[in-house]
Amino acid sequence: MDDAAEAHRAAVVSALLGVIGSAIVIVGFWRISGLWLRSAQTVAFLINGSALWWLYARLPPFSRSRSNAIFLLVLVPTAVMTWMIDDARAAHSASWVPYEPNKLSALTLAIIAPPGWWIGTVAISLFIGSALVHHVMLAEELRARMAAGEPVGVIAYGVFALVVLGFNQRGYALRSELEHERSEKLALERVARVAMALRDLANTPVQTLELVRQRLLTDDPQLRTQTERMGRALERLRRLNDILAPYQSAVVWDGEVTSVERQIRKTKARTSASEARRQT
Amino acid sequence: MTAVLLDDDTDLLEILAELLQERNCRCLLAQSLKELKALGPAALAADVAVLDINLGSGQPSGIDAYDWLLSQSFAGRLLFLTGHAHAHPLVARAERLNRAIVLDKPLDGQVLLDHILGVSAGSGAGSHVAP
Repeated sequence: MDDAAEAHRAAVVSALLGVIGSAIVIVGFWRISGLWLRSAQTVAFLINGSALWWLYARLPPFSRSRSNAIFLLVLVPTAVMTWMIDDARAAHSASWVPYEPNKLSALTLAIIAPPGWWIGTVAISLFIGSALVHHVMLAEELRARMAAGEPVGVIAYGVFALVVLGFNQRGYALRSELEHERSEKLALERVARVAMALRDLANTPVQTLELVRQRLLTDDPQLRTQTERMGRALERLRRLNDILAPYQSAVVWDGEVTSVERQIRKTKARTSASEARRQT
Repeated sequence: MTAVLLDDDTDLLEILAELLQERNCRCLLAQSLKELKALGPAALAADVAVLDINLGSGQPSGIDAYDWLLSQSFAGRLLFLTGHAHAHPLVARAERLNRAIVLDKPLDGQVLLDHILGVSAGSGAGSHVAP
């Protein structure tokens, strides 16, 4: 899978999780939701649903930059929703564990982020950053009612998310390297097949010419000069074998004939048939 | 001396036969296993058989000819002549047969003739002779 396809997959997963997350939030926090939170939930659900539908309708080849833009775009309504949920929970609970959706989102995004550091970093920063800003903006009496350990807790989640993102990006880099190696191996094998097929097909005519040269060897000095020239030319042709020999090991044989050889033979047969037709 | 020559290339067969006949070697020519079988007892009584390994796509190979000759109690020497790489599955099989020598095309004309006429030294059955 190339980077553009990975970016598309990441955008699809991001939008799908947005749809599922919005639905869970609607059900889970219905009781404490006011008009604004319900509106935000609906908007998040619709934006993620539309993005998901649009992404599913796309056919390859995918645009990497467009997929990355959608990956980030669908996170914005979710980030707004998580902010409002924390407000709602603060308003309706005597004490609460803050920024849970932000922490969960940061870790999830580290896992599903597309190839490229900056997209994942921006996505994680969106949720961790918004939690930190929210923390600063919360009234002192609300902060006093939240579970202890913030904002260190949310920062720790952010750091761990970046570590996970690092492993994820390393995985992408390794995969890309493997894909590159595989393509090179395939290309070499293709070249090797052509080289071996040409070498094998050329050897019989070269042997025939060598025997013709042998037949022409006489005491006639004029003819001897010509056969010596022919011998030198054949020697150079024979060196082709030495040049092409190292490719032998790269060829994977398909039965007793390589596919390239089969193709060359077909072409040779067609040429012979058309020559025969011309002669008749 | 009599030699049986099996190769799907007519030009190679004819020029090789001409050179051998100049050296008082009678030649029997065949371009396929079917033609070799058609030569009958004369082929089986030959002193040496020179077999091209690859006789064309979908055709019985020189190894099939080798098997047939042995099944008919052929007592002469057996030489495989091939233009294919050692890695080719048929050549690899031929190299494992201990009654035959594998000669790589293109060989120097005199060296090839010496091997066929049995005057070359140092190449016993089961060995591989490269250009």
